[in-house]
Amino acid sequence: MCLSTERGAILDRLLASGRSSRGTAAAYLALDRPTPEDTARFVRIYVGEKFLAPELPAESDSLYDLGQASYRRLQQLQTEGKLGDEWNTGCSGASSAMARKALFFMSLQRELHITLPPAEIEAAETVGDVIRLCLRFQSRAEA
Amino acid sequence: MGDDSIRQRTDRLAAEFRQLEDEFLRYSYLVELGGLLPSMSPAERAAADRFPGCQSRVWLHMELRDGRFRLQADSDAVILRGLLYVFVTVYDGASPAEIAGSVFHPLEELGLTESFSPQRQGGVAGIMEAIRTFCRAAAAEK
Repeated sequence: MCLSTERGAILDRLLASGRSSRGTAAAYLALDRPTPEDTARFVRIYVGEKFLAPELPAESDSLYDLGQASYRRLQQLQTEGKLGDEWNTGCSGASSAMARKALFFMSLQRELHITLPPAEIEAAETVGDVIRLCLRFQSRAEA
Repeated sequence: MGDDSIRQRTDRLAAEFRQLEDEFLRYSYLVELGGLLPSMSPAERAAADRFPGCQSRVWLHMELRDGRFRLQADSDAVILRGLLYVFVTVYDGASPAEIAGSVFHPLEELGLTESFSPQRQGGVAGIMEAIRTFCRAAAAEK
């Protein structure tokens, strides 16, 4: 297999996602004293860019579902019955969705200069949970 | 593509993954590549060697055709499909001798060490060993 047009397009899309989310993180960090509304708005944008969501995600949106929806081929394979439910229930509880969530939080902490307790990360399931964590642990933000 | 060495193929893949600055994006790329892996039909899966995981299944069909190693692979696990795409890209069409003598550490070279649990890493190693074992035997018969 060579680098197909489709593979190149996937790579380009992910590179754009990285550039956008880093830009959003930088814009947020440039705010002097972000309000809770600022934090909520920027986090929603950041999450949407990270997960390649077609629309700005709602606070109630599940991080697991967002991750799944961004994989177009994955949706098709699931429709065709060619995938098990490993995305949600993998080996020893470490599903692909959970691994991806952990990696997302690693990126978020690095790019937003924030440190989150592992137990809080594990419990976080929605975009709203991410916003609340950023408000609690981002020392720059107003309470 | 068919005349590329394994090192050229792995270097090309590694360069693609290295463009993605964090492992979240690299993981995403691997999942998307899994979507490009052709699926095996139920009959092909039934005829292939199955590598059972705890909840994930992997099917490998390896053969020697015109002196070249041919690999067809599939899995019902998202992230394993991505890795199988990598293996097919790297190994399909190469000579058994070159495969047997090659060194490729996919998780390290593609920047995916955080993405795979120890159990999954063991599974990855098992798949690579199965490929090398087949190729060592094929190369020895020549």
